[in-house]
Amino acid sequence: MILEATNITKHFGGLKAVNGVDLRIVPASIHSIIGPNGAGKTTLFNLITGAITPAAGTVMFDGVDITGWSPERLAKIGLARTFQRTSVFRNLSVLENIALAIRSREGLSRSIWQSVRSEEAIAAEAMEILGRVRLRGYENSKAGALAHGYQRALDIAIGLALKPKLILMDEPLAGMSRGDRETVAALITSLRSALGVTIVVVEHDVSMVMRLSDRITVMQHGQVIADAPPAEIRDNEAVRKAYLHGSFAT
Amino acid sequence: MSDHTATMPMHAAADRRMKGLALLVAAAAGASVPLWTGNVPFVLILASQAVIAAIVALSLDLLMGSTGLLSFGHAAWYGFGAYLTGLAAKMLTPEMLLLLPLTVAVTILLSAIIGFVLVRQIGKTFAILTLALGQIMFALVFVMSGITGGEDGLQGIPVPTALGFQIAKPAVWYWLLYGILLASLAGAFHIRRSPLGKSWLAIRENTERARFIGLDTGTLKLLSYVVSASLAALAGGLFALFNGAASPDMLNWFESGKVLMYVVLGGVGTIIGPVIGAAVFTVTEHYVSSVTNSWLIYFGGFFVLIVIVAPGGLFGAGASLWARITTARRGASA
Amino acid sequence: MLAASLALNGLVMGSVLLLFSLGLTLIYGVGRIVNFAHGAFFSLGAMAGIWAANSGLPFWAALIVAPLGVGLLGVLLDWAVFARIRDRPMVDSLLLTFGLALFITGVLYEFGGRNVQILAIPPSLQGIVSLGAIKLPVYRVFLSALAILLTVALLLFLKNSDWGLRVRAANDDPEMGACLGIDRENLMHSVVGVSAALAAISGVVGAPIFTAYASVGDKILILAFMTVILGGLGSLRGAIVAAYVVGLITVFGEGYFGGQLALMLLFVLVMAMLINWPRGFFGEGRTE
Repeated sequence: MILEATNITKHFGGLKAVNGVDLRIVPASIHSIIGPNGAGKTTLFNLITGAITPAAGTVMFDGVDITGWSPERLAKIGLARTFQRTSVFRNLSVLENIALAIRSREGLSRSIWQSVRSEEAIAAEAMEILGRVRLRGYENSKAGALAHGYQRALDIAIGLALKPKLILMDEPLAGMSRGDRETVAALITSLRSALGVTIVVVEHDVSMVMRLSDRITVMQHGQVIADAPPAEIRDNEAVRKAYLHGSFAT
Repeated sequence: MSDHTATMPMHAAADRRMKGLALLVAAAAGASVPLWTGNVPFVLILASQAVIAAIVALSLDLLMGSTGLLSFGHAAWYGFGAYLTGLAAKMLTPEMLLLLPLTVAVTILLSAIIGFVLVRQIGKTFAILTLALGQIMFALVFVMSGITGGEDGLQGIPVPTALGFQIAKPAVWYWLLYGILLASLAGAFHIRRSPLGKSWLAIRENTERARFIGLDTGTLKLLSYVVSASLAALAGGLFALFNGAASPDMLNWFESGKVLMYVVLGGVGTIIGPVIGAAVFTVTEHYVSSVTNSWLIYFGGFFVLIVIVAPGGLFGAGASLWARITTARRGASA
Repeated sequence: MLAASLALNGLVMGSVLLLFSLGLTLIYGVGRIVNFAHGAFFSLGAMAGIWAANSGLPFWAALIVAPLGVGLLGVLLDWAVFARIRDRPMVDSLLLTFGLALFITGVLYEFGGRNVQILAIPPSLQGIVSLGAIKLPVYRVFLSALAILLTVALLLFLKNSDWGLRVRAANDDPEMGACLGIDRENLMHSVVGVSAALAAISGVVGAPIFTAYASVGDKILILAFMTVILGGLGSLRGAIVAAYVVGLITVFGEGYFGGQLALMLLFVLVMAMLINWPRGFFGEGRTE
């Protein structure tokens, strides 16, 4: 297991947002977490990525207990994330967006001197990553000037530049057109096969998730109600109920 | 598309050459001030004060323009530097090559301690605490009025020496201050292009994302705060030595407001803009306050107006206008 | 005996601070604006008291006219100035209110604010009350009673009125407020107006004690900022407790060490608290 969360719990006031959740992620897999609104998906996500600290439970990543670690530390050991509301450095160039992540990974973020050679190497690597997410040709544009779908791709590319072992994507398909969804979905699949990176996706688009994932965890009321390959999830009675009573968007 | 990207670097290079040339001309013009004001020492003194103001403005832009942290009490460090240098000059030595490094060293230490708490707060709390810090430094002058002179200010700071030579001539002072300004500017531009400067910009742009790519935002913000405070203290120290006195007015929140105005007027984060803003503002203030004694009204009103109408500063508004003109011309010539 | 007398004065100070800070919290809660000009509204109130007295109006009239006038000015300012930057980044609102503070202070300098003046206490409120061996001027008792009364009235109004409901909704979540169909523009006008009026009335009733001049509000603004940070930015009950804590610290500090040192002590205390509890007493402070 690359990621193993055990009995994760978090309350907000009296509400148990996430209650005793277990999650096991196989290396180099695409693992999706789905569930109706308010099921606790995003909270679980934030608990794993260090945005909030769990009240109980542990998170192990690649053999290390990372419970309650800050985002900075998580990024350094190879756990990256993307954001539901696309999060890029809007006024910096696309290339610089990637270069920042590469420098951070290499521990160069605080240096005052930078040799031309290493800067060239960083730019070359950044270009390669941009090629992977089909953003080559836009390297000099401001990130904020990119179309929505391209910004999403850049968000993912920034995560990739950290050379993560695992990348968590918070609703990567949210708010996109049909065509853009297909593009990003294809991108996610290609990243796994080309780089062998583990991908965890929180998504609303159930049909896309069914096609994309190796395994799916279904949450409802802060708890896991099913955890199985897509084919089994489709036939699962509890999941069907959640669909009917919950408010799935699609 | 490919054509466009291919011609980009050429334009960029030409742009850079033009900008470099313009900077060189401006720098030379600035250095020549003592040559044509020989008969009116007063103008030279005003120019020297403008240069000191420019250094303070630059120091604040190193904070605001880099990490986006808003300091409403930058006068705290300016005044702190002035009093510390002045007191050390009276008690220890008039040698400025010892005084100024001492001031900077003490400021680094103190600002690191205070900054450690400050930079960990959200932006609004940070802003409030910086304002309070200004008032605290102001209060400190009165608590220690036995040595600071309280309301009357710190008087009788000896004429400083550099390597044993007395620095008294206005022209020499001007060139000294101007040299320090140029060196600080060069340093600021260098940092802006370095990985550190780019990491700072990332924090200003999107702190949350910066954390999630592994940037240690707390340490980076603290670095920017300490650099900024130290340069402000250096400017304060120079002011005290230049004037032979320091007054509690330097720590007033109006003073912080002025520094903020230099930066906002010149354009936050443009480095050169705040420097120009400071120079223009200092000279204007002098002439306005010789005409009317209610300049605070004009100042405050102008401040409000700038924030509403030109949040990028006059320099920023000018730059975007220039960019529009040049791209239009390029579009026409292509 | 000194301690007991200081404690009483601390409570008086706390009450005024509370009344003043409420406006700051209100405007922050609804508009997410940190109002640096709040101190200038206080000064404006104090100076208005002086102007009223100079033009022959009785103290009581000033007590009503000043907050009304400054409150209207607040509405006007929100409509004419703050509304221009409603959707801009937080930075702009900080700069704007800071500039406004400079402007108002500048105007007050022109209208008699250069000299320190003291507003006379009306004859009916002169004299001393004795509680055993402790003596307290009647005016200070009146001052705290008025401040507490107004605070309670405001809190009740917030709790029970339609306006209060809308303020609380916007306070919890501005976007939610918008969803509920709240007219944010008018709500903000009224909130800034009420907030300015609260600052002004604190200024008028404070003028016989804290005196009146153009920048008299500076110090209480800093104390109020320390209050809202101690209580947690945006937390109402935090502000209530913190106002009295700050009032007591200030008065005791002044009594034993002198005013300036008391301020420094307070600042160090706040900084020390922030290291461990960045969200204030009740952990309710906003972190956005």
